[in-house]
Amino acid sequence: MIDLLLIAIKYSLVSNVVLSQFLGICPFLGVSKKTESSKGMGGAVIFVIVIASVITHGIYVAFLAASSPLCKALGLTDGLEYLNTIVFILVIAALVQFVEMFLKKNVPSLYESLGVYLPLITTNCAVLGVALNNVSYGYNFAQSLVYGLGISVGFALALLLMAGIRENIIEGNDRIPRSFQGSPIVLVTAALMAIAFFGFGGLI
Amino acid sequence: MNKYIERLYNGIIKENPTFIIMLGMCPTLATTTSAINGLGMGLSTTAVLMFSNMLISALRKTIPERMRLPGEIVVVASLVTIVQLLIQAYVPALYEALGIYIPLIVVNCIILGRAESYALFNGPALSFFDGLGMGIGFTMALTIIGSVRELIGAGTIFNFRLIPEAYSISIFVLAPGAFLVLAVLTAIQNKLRLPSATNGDAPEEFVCGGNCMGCFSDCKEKAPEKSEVEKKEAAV
Amino acid sequence: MKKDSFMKDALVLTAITLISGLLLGVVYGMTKDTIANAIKEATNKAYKVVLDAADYDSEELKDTLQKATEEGTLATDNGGAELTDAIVAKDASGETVGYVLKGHAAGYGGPVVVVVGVDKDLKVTGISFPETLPETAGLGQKATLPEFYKQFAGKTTKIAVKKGGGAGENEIDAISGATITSTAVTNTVNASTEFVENYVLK
Repeated sequence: MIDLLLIAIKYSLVSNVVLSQFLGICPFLGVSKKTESSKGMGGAVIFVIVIASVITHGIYVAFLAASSPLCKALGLTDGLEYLNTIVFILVIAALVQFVEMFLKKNVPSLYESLGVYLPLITTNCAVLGVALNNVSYGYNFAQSLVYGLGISVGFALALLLMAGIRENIIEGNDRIPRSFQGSPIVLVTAALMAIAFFGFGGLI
Repeated sequence: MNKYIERLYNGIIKENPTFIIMLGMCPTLATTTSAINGLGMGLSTTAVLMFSNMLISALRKTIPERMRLPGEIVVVASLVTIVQLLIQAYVPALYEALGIYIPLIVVNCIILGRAESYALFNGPALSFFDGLGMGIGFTMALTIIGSVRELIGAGTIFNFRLIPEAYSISIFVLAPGAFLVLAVLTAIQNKLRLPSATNGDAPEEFVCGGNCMGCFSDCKEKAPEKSEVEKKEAAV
Repeated sequence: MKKDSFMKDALVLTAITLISGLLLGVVYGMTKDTIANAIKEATNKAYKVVLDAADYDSEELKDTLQKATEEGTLATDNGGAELTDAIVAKDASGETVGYVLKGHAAGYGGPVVVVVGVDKDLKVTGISFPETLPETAGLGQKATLPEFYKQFAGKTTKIAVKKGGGAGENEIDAISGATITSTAVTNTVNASTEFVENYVLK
């Protein structure tokens, strides 16, 4: 139980996925102009990463690991781990499509708020990163679930904070030097946030 | 032959993926803790990019439209895994240093971006050179950022000491340094009014809204090959 | 008609995936041995730093280590330190010269992984850190400096941590400002010697 809590805290705050591992930088910089859209993106990412983390873990255990039933049945003593990347990315792409269709049909209200962000998530490297790390860290089912949750909550948190800062301080601020307007000031803000997140280092 | 050299020039200078189009930010920030890591990441990406461009161009008539994206992903993911296995076997130190960022080349915007905006409309040889040019441009950018960070953060470049250790500012090899160095490099570009995705009409905009998939739908009008793409589409 | 074209599309994609998969299998088969060798060389190099030997056997003590972990006394005696690998170091003639143990204990920022070399007389031959330490730069990270880790060589079982300098017999000086890191390293070293003493040499 304690170890699950540690995983959750570590990956949402201490080694934040965006600010210290640099995964999902593209949406972090691109969809953080308005708090409204960052909420949608954050929600969609939490949704997809948690599902993807659990499903890819299941596929790994069932088909790809050396100890999986499939590899045992085929007599492959080394497992099929070299297929991890290709299988995971296809599963994630299909999953995103499926989630989109499912929400559209069954939960229109949720689709309304998350829908437009879903197709953007396939190439969010945090999703594939979580799937691959589950394997290399040797996580079990519960750990994969909590790890996916921690990472995606950390992503949403960083995105929301950044959007708040941009909306209130950066956008339309004339006192920012001309050459730093636009992306440079956003990157400087990200750097300061990364320094601030160092402060969580003592938590665990 | 000129066409091929033009492709190289285009990738290295005119449409440099990092400094001009600002694609593939994750590896740019994550793997530039030292010049050698930046170079290694750049070369791995180049290898994937050349062959993915070539293969996708060669298969562009075979892969049905509806299966285009999954087909491309399969091709890219296989190439990435091959590169990963080769690095693991022959350059284990680099494998250790780059870690998860090697398999993550699959979702590097540059790869699918070039496939969608160039390889789908041009022959295999030209696409190969396009990938080579883009790869060299990416490698150069990563090596430059890596050198700056290593120099300030550890006082060395390619492990060659230029500044005594006591004067190094180690935060530059840590996470915040990556953001800071990139911020300053882009600011210099802005100052000099160099062409960049972040300059011009909409200075606050990251290209394609900062999102890879965005490149294919929302931001097509921004893609440099716009006229070319539209011409081909009209022809089809 | 529409169904046919969908089937065809799906077939093309399946074909591409199959060819890619086969190709990957071939490349994997070609690189497998080289990768295994590279990994073995890297770990052997890490072992050589702490205890020089001609050969390292990682199988011989596997069951013993599992038994020790199940009993759990190593962890309770040494502040929760856990051992993950136990390797027998042998000279060219196959004679045992000592043991290399890999383990970890909780530091300030996460588990501190340590590789420990122990000879047959229960003397520590050296320690090293195979992974980047999760500790604070300038404080806990100082564990990687020779002033700290060189202290362990030559010490025996139940090493104590001394704060504020002036370590005596079988004591080591803690890194100032990073007692937790110092203790984590020492606990792992003590767990290693205790394992060799109680489970291997007995």
